[in-house]
Amino acid sequence: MLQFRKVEKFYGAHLALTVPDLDLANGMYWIQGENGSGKTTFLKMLAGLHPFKGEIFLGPKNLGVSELGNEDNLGLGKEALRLRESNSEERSSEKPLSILKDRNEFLKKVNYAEAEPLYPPFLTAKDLVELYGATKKADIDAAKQQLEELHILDAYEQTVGTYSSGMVKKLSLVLAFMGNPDWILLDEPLITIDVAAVELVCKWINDWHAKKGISFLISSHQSFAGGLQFTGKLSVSDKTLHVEP
Amino acid sequence: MSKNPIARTLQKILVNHFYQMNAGFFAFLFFVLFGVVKGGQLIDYHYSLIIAFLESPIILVGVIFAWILYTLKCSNYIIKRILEPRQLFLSSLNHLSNKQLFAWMLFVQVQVFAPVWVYATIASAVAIHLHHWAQAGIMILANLVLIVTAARWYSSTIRHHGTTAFLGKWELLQSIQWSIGFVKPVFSFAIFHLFRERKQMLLLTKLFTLLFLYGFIQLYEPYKPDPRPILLCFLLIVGSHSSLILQIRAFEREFLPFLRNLPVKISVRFLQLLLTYALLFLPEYIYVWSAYPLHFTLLEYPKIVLMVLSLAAFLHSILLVYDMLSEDYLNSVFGMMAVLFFVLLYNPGILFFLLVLLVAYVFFHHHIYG
Repeated sequence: MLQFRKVEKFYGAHLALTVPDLDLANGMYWIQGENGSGKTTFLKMLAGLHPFKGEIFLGPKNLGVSELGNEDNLGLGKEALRLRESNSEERSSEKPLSILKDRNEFLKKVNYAEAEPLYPPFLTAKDLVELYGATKKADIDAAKQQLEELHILDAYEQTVGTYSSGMVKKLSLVLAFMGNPDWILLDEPLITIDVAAVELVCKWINDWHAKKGISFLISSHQSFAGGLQFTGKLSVSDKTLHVEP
Repeated sequence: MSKNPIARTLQKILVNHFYQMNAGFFAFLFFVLFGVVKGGQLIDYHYSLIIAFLESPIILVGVIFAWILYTLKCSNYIIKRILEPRQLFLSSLNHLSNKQLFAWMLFVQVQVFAPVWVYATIASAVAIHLHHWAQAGIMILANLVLIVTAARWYSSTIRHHGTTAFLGKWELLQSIQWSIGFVKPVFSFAIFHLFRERKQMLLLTKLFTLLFLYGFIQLYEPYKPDPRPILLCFLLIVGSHSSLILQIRAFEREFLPFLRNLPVKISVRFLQLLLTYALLFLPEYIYVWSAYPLHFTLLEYPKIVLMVLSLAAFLHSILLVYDMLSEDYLNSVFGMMAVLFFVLLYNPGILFFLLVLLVAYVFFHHHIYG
C-alpha cells in the first residue's frame, strides 16, 4: 500500500501538484490527465526523483476491521481490497517505509521508468543493467532475457548513444522491471516502442501483477485496448490528484 | 536583446549558453589577466604583455596558438550544442540562403570570440601605433580567419546536422572507443563525460595546472620542506578546475537523475563523488611527487590529497544548494580561495581539511535530493 500524507509539490513559489491524504492499495492503476497536469511530477515524487512537501509511506497500515471494510473512502475495487488485505496480513509485523526516513529501503521496492529516458550516451546497456543489478539486488540474466525478448540484446555492449529512441525506451522498461519491487511506476510506457513490444510489455505487466503481486502505476495517453486489467484509475486535474470512482 | 527572432534564438541558445557554461573558465581567465596585478599597474602590465608578443615572434606564435585553442573550444561547444537532439529545431534555419546562414553564424562566432578579438583589436592598435605593421596584419588576419572558419563550421553543421560535420567521424570513433572494455563504475561517469564532451576544457585545464606545477617545482627551491607553497599551488589548481566542477554538476543534472531512483546510501554517493574528484586530480597527485622530498614530507602528502578532495567536494556541494550557473558560484569560488589563501599561510593541520570535508558532506547530505 502507498500512503500519501499532505503531499504538495512546489516549483519555487508555484504549487504544481497536491495529493490529498490517500491510501492506495496494491493494484494496477491508470493515471490520466492532460499534458502538463502533473502526472510525471507525481510519479517522479514517488520514485524519489523530485523533492516535495509531505510524506509518502510504503507498506502495510495498521488498519482496523472497520477501516478495511470502508472501501468507498478509498475509491477502490474489490481486487484492490483483496490484495490490500492480503498485503496487510503478510506484513502485519512490518513497519511502513517512509520515503524520507527509509529512502533506500523504499526505493528497493519502487522502480520507475521515465517517459523520455535519458542516459549518458557513453554508457552501454551492460553498464546500466549491471548498475541496477548491483543496487536493486536484481538478477542480471533475467534482465538480459527481457532484453532478448525485446530484440535489443544484440546491442547490449553498444553505447546508448548509438541506440534509437525506441531502443532506449525498451532498455528503460527492462531496468524498471529489475529487482524485487512492490510497485513499478511507468510513465508513458508505450510511446516510441513498436507494436510487438507494446504487446510484450502489456503481457509482462499482467503477468507480474498476477503472479508476483507487483503493483503498477501507469501514466498513458494511449488506450491499452483491453490489454491491461486495471484496478482503478487516478486522474490529475486542477493541480490535484483524484481517485476516479 | 534583438527583436529579430533568429537573433534572439541564437543569442539565447548558443551565445548566452556558451558564456553561462564556461563562466568558471572566464572568471579564471579574468583573474589571471586582471586580478594578479594592482589596479594602478593594470594598463602598464598589459602594455608590457602586448609589447612582449609584438617584439618576440615566438611569443606571438604562442599567442596565436592560444587563440586557435580558444577557437576550437568555442567551435566544439557550439557544434555540440547544435547537434543536441533538443536543438533540432535549429535545422529550420536551413530555409535561409547560404549567405544568410553564414551571416547568422558570424553573428554567433563574433560574440563567443569577443574575448579574443577585443584584446586583439587593442593589441593591433598598439602595434599600428608603434609601427609594427606586420604584427598588426598577422593578428588581424588570424582573427578574421579563425572567426570565418568557425562560422563556416557552424553553417555546415546546421546544413548537414552532423552527417558530414567535422565532429561526425570523431563521434563514431568515440562510440566504438567507449563501448569496449569494462563495466563503468558510477564515479567514472563524470570523467567519461569530460573526456567525451569537454575535451578542450579538460585539456587546457590540465595543461595549465601541470605547467604551473612544473614551473613552480623547477623555479622554487625552499631551504627546508614547507608544505604551504605547494598547498597554495593546489589551491590555485582547484580554483582553475572550478569550471570543470561546474560541468560535472551540469552533467549530473542533465543525465543522472535516474540514479536518484537507485537505493544507494548518501554516504556511498558522497564517497563516489570523492572518487570522481580523486580520478580528476590524479595527474596532479602523481606529478607532485616530483617535488618530494624538497617541498613536502611523506606525512604531508595526505594533507595535499585531502585538501584538494575536500575543496572540490565543497565546490560541488554548494552547486547542489544553489542551482547556480555563474555569479553565485564564482563568488563562492573566489571567496573560498581568498579565505583559504590566508588560512594556508598558517599551515593548518589535516583536521582543518577534514572539517572542510565535513561541511561539504553536510551540504551534500541536505541537498543531494533537492
